[in-house]
Amino acid sequence: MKMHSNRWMVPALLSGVLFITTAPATAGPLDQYIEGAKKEGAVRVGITIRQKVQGKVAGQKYLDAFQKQYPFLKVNFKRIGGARERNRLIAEMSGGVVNYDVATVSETMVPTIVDAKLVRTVDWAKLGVPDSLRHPGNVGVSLRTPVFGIGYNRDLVSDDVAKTFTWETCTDPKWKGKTAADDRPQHLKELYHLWGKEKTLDYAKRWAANKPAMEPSRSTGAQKLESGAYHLICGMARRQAKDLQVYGGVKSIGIVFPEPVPVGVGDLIFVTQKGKSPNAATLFIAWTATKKAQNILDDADFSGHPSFEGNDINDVIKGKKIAYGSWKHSENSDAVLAEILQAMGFPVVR
Amino acid sequence: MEAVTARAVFSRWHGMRLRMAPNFLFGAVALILLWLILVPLGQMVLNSFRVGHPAVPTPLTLQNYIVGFTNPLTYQMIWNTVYFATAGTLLTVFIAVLFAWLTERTDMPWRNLAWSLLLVPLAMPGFLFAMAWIFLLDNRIGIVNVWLRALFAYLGWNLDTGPINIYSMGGMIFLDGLRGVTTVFLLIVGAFRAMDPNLEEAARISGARALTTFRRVTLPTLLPALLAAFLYSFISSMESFEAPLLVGLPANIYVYSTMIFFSTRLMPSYGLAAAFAVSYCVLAVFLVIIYQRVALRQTERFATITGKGYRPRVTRLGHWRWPAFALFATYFFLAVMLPLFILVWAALSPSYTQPSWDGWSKLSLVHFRRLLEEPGILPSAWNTLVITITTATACVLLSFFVSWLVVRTKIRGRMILDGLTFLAHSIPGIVIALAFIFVYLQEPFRSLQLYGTVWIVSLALITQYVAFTTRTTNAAITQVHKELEEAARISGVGRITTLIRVTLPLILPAFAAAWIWVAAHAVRAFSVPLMLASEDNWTLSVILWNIWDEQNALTMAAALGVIFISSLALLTFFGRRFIVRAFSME
Repeated sequence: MKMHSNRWMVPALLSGVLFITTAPATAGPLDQYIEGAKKEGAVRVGITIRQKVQGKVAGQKYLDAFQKQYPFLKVNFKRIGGARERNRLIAEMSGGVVNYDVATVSETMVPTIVDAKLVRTVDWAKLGVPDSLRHPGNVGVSLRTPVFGIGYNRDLVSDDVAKTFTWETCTDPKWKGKTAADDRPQHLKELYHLWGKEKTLDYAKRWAANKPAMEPSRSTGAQKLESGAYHLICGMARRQAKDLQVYGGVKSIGIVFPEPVPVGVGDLIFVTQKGKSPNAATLFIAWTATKKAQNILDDADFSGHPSFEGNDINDVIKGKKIAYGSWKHSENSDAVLAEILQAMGFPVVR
Repeated sequence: MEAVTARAVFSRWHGMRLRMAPNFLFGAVALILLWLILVPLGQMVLNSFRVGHPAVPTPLTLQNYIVGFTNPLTYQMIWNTVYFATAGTLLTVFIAVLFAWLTERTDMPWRNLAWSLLLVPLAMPGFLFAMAWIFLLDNRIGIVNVWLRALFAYLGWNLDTGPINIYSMGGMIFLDGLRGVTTVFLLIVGAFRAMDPNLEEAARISGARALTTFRRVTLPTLLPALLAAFLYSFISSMESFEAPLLVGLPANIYVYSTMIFFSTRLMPSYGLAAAFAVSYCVLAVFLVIIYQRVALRQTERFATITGKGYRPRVTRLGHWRWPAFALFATYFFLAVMLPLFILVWAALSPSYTQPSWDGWSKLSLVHFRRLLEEPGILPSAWNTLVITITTATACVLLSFFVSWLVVRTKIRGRMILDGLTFLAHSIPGIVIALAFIFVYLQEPFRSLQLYGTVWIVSLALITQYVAFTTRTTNAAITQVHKELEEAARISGVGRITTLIRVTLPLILPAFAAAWIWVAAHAVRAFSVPLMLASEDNWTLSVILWNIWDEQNALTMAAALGVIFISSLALLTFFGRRFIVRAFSME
């Protein structure tokens, strides 16, 4: 009996050793998703990057890089734009039409997609997604991180003067009537969590006293800054300025980043509950959180997360104090924005 | 004996068919309207009693109404809106009535050309029109202000900014007033053309002066058309969005439409937006009642197309002929040429800079070339064409039947049809689109498989525009005297045949005008197509919006805007030729 068990023990041990030594070097938490994705063969992605901007290749670089990483997956991309399209997406999914495996919503829409059970949660931490990008409830991952600064018209304000700008510049009577603001001053929302309520609302009131023109969309504000209608836009998104500079060939717009630099959480991308390819979707989202993907995103869409070494925004704000937004803060972002807008005299009916 | 019985049965059946035909038509039209209008309206009312996103239904509550109407800001906005809408409407109606009279009833030079040119503003997308005027009248960089400052400096008066400030209530009214003229013109021009001049002749023979004749005879005769136009324009101004948003917001002036927008945008509160929209509808119901009491209940008073032949009388302007044309030219310069100049300049510039001699050398067609490379541009152009033709045709046909039932029959409940069509105008486009998404994704409508097709976009646009076309056909049918239809019926022709063979040809001019109006609006509509956009039903306006708002490319958007305007200029040119023929009453 003893002999019998030894006879089987040796080959078992040998095969164990053999298995360990020949196991693939890439073995890891993504393996099961890779296997699943191979069977799925394709992934339908609906996020807010733009494949081309003004005829020039932009976000396509990012999609191509993913395709290169996972050549067995066919990426079917369709852009989901601003609030209107995101609302449409929610309505469609609630009605059972799920056209995407990876979809996107704004920060304020996260509770809706959770309540409507439109999300397939994934343990993103286990897949290597850093805390800075991961939703704490595993709802999804941040994409397109906004970094805010002060945009200026270079024909009206010299680069040397702009270098001296602080957030107090926006309250300086020297610039009274010459600045503009987005009707969603998101940079103040991020500063709120660092500065606290009292300081932020006091700042908002002093800024409002300097008569900034409220602009209904970032595009309109940027287009008017470009043409010289404004000297400054306080709280301009870096992406907006870089878009015009790089893809639009605009030379009249500059942007500086006073401290603390407000950095938002960005959009949320998630695996849709009833999508056809959940494994491929998980791979895509996990890939977006890698350094490589974020750096390509920063190069093509100017929206990489600044915590990743090697991208432009990381270099630009290195060593500066940063006011990071977080998903924890986003739970009450509506209320914070409403407080700020009310302090600025904007009619908020809530 | 058998033959007599058979004849009696046939006769009784034929008589019953004649009596029942309008009832069947009423039933069919009512069903279509309930489907098109009551469904989104119901969804909107329901949402107004819920909080949160419509995708996550909550228990019914009055919270939105309490929050909305206990806030003093709401009343400030109501006052702003009423002031803005009243002033904008008065300006619009004044200009439109003047031009309708000048082009139809006077010997103003080039009046046919003026008629055609009056349609061109329809082609200009609202936000591009507002942006163009911002680049003309911005305090600092507006080219008109720059030129005026240079002129004042020459006269020794130095200004840093201004002198004209577009960011003001006056600026909003100016833009809204200019924008609405074509619509009101189309609503009333048929009435001016079709009016029996014998009434005016009689007044003048009785010794009445021209002004008295105009005030005591012409205006009262045109009352249904004028009232319809005024009310339609008032609601349109209340709903007007682009000017209040782009010009009002920087000046801290808020109106109802911008507040609905901010309710769904800043911190999404669809219930609150719906509650505001419902209050719009309540106002619209009030206006419909006025319209029905004043105009539709007294139809025969206003019938001016009778069985007798007539030729519209032309007023000789004498010395005022050329000043009248100069007045029109000034309007056209402001409403079309100046903003179009800015758009063409922007479309040809590498990036937007003020028009200048230095800039000429940098102009190129690069943005037009890039447009051709824009993904999906050709399928979108095809979708736009299909949506435009189906929406315009379905709208005018539906309106024709609604108006005939409302004006010509005594069927109980007919006024509800008219009320429903007018109410549709007060439902914001975004609310219609959102309701359509929910409705067409649920059974039983889901099995129609309309979602994601061009047809759902077309249906939503019909809902939006049927109010306008019904105002046009109401006014037109009101002016056709019953005696013509009665003559046909005495000759043994059925009511529906009479409707198609007698009434329809008589109101064809109004029909054509309404068709062109809807077509022009459908081409450039963006709110509804954007919300209902799916894989296969993108339109050119969705691409335009994406280029402008998502790509920040004002210059490329301007290039597409210039193409829109050019295409519509062609449509109006051919449309005008048709209308001229259709208007011929000889």
